[in-house]
Amino acid sequence: MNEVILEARGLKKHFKVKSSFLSPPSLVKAVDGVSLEVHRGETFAIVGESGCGKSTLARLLMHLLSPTEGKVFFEGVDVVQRSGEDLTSLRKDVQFVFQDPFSSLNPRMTVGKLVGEPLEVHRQDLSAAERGEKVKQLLEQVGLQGDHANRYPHEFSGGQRQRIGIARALASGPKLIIGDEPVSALDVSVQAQIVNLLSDLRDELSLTFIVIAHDLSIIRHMSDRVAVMYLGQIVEMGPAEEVFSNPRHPYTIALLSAVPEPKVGQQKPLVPLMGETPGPSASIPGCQFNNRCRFARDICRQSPPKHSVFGEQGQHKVACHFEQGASNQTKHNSLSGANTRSPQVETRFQLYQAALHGKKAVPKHPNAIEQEELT
Amino acid sequence: MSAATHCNKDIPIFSVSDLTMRIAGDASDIVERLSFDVFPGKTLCIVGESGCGKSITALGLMGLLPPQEVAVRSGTIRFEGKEYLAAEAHQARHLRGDRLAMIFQEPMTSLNPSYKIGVQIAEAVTCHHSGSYVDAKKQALAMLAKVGIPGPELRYDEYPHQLSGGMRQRVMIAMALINNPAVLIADEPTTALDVTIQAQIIELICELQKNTQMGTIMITHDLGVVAKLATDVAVMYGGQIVESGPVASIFNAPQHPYTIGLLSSMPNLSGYKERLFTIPGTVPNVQSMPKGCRFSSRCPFCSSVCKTQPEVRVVDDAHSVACHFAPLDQTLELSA
Repeated sequence: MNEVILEARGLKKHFKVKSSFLSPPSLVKAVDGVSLEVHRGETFAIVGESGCGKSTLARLLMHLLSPTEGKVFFEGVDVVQRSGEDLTSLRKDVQFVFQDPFSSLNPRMTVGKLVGEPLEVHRQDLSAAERGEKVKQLLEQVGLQGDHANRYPHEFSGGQRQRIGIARALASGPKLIIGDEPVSALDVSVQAQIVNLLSDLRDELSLTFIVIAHDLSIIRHMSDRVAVMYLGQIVEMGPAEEVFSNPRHPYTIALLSAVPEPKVGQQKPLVPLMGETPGPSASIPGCQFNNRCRFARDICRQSPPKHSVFGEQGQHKVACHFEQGASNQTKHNSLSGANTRSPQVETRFQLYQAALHGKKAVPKHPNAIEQEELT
Repeated sequence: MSAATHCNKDIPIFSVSDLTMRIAGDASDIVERLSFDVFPGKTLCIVGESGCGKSITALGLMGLLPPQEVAVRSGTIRFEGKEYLAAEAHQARHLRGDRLAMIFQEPMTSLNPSYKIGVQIAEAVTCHHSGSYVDAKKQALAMLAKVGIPGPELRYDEYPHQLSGGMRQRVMIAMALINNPAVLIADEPTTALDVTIQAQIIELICELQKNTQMGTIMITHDLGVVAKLATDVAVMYGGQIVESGPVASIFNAPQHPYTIGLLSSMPNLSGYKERLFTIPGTVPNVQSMPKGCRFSSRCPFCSSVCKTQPEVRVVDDAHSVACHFAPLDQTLELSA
């Protein structure tokens, strides 16, 4: 579990953006000095608001974009230097699942062709018939039917299309899958199906996942470790349980408090976050977060904070000058798990869950229900 | 049946009864026999997944659907003491944007990109009230300040593309509320926004509602938002309200298997991390809606009795449900 499969060192990606003909181009620091390690077999999550650079980071990690500075190592080999056939073999090991299942599948290709395409590139030893067989097997693996291979993407619902996207990513037999918001375009009930599918596949095929999302409660469910990004930098990183129950960076605290929970009568105090995320080309001296942070002092406006390390084996890293002051304020913030449901209601939930697992629920008084229907 | 009879001291400000709509050419109804009440100062949340008909209901109530494409087959709307047919809603132009206002989901596509935002807000005043543009501008500036836009005088002359997503949604809210509407319909107002901005917008809506006592219909699929905002909840599935009642009963004592499934498939921020429970299958489309109970194709308790349409039953203090087996704990048991 502790073997490093992917490592990024001081990764930077700066884009030049020309706003008008006469003005000099401004520099957007989409990713600005990110270092991280992903271990084999874990699910690593990257969280942040829109514009924080999380999608750019994902694309850098699998060399869909070339970094301005820094290095990415996959299984110890530098990814950035790879090209040609070397890069093709990297693509075999690292695959991508995209956010929008409606725009990421070619509408003119059948599902069989879509899922078979990576096989044509990476498994040239397979004959057409073997490929067809493999496609069927992949479709069944993600919970579709083998004969769906002859259909077109428009015949499927959003959740089914995301399953096709996952089957396509699995086709080349990857070791690492990067998902850019793989469930955020889906409905709640379907989202839960895909989250369960991904965790089953991870265990079955011993995959490693990097998941990018903005939905914190989904992240908590899916991931082993979490990195929180703000304006191109990782502000906090650590084991998921640790980050969610004991957040130390003021930004993480504010982010967690802003998530509305589906519970009635348990008001958690909102940690206000002043203003909005500054534009990507804004240059803020010192700590990037200082203009929205309520703990900001002079030192925050002058020098950028270093990562300080907490927890067992130093796994919890925080980039803040005053993380101690901030984390003390959060103690009252964790919700008590008080259960407001009565035993009868709990029975309903248990019945539902048992019925999903194939147990049969029968009417207690069969006649009572029929009589009710007659009246 | 009303969704919120527990506060019957108040008179509902907006009532819908028996609303049925069908898209031209379809074989079955997209929205079937919807009835609910909205009370002043209260929020009714309509919850459901995509395709359950919640957005088309909102558009229908506002009279924004083209009558040749969507047929309103039945239904009456009672608003501020006047009763009119839902089929005539599109003629009620004097109400739209004045007494009855709406906030849309995607603020970028619902603002006109070629007009300054201030002009778009002031237009709502000049359309409905006589008076000079100067007065309207004054009101618009005051409203911009009220929804928390810093430097209203500067922002007044900006175009939508110069604002961030959260700011645009604030402009939409300013535009909807400038004429002090009695009822506000909000169709997923925070879905396109980040969580921190979503929290700010929810606070803003709560605060403005407290000051003006308007009734709000909030349409959303996010149960977290519902728990934070709602006084009453109506759960929609396949164009019908399957369960409705006060927010506490829906969350703490749900009756319908769909509501139970929805609540169990929500991931939590606290508590034990366990495998998520799902609702098997996907929402059927209007053409292939099952006969009888529309949830029967995905319900783990489905049996022969579910081929007939379940009656809406009141189970507990304004809490009503449409399921043959409700309450589940009393009617069902696991077979050995």
